[in-house]
Amino acid sequence: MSKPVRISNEREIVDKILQGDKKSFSLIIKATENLVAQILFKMVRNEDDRKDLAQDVYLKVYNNLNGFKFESKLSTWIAQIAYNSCINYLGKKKPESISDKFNDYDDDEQIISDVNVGNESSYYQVEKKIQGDELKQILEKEIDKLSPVYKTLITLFHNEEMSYEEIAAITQLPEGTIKNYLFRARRILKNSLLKKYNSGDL
Amino acid sequence: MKSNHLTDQEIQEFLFGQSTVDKDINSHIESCEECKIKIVNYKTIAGSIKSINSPSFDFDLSGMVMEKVIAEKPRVKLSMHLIISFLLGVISFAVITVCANYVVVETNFLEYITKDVDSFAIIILSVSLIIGMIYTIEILYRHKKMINMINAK
Ligand SMILES: [Zn+2]
Repeated sequence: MSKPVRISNEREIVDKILQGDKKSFSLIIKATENLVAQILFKMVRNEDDRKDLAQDVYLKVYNNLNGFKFESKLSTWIAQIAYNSCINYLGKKKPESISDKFNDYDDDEQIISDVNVGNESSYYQVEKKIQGDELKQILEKEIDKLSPVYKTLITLFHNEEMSYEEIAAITQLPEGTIKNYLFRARRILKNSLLKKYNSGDL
Repeated sequence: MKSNHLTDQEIQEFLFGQSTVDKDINSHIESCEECKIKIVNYKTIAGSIKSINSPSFDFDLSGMVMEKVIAEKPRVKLSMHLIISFLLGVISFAVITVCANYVVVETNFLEYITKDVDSFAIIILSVSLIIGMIYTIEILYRHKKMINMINAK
């Protein structure tokens, strides 16, 4: 993984680019591409489409740079463009199942019901025994099963350690909705793990 | 102290809420093994998610984008558009005035243009007309591109 470049003065760089110093734009790309990758990898499965989208995102950023008003961090604004591009991509790809983006867990209750998953303490015991890496792998698989938006929210909150406010700026979802989706996503993860441990799958 | 066990919602709020937690909830957690286990479970999951490696692009994104960016034409600033539009307005006015004069005078056009309008004005007029046409085509093309971009969004 390439090391993210830090931009110390966003305003300076943006001004430079707007005045015609195109090369400085590569600094912006390098400073934000990891965050864009996080979003694109969670939202879009197809590798080729991801490649196209990533380029589109930055061309949009470049072409709309004079519209950036420094009301948020530059990375937040770019992440918002990336997220929007993905939402549009998903909408185009499967218009009939647009709601999938938000909720492919209509059978939530089946997975979520705490009665189904057994005793949490036994999970705790097992958890203590198994290796951290194994848990990580299982969790990665379980996260992958979540809907694109749930996945993205989990990543932004837990990996990128963003605040609800920042996530709201990126996704344009109300903070209450974000909290609710995150709550459901975590509960799905916890309960599916619990189910696995208690059913002896592991 | 809160006597009932915490709900999933309360536990998540306690761990990830980004706000201060109710005193009752705090004291319940301190004294209840069952809720502690639930907290450990969520904590373990959160910690584990955090340790998952971040994905990165396996191609030179910066290089690919920069190639396209460098190839793009420099963007004309809005003030530049305004100045050019103003000049075009003035020129159009001049053209209309000259033509109107001609219509009113109703002589042979060639005769009129050579006699009454000096050659300097003719050169200015024709150059301006050519610039105006190129500029209009450029604006239309740019507009079309912009519309395409908006549609692609
Ligand atoms: Zn309790």
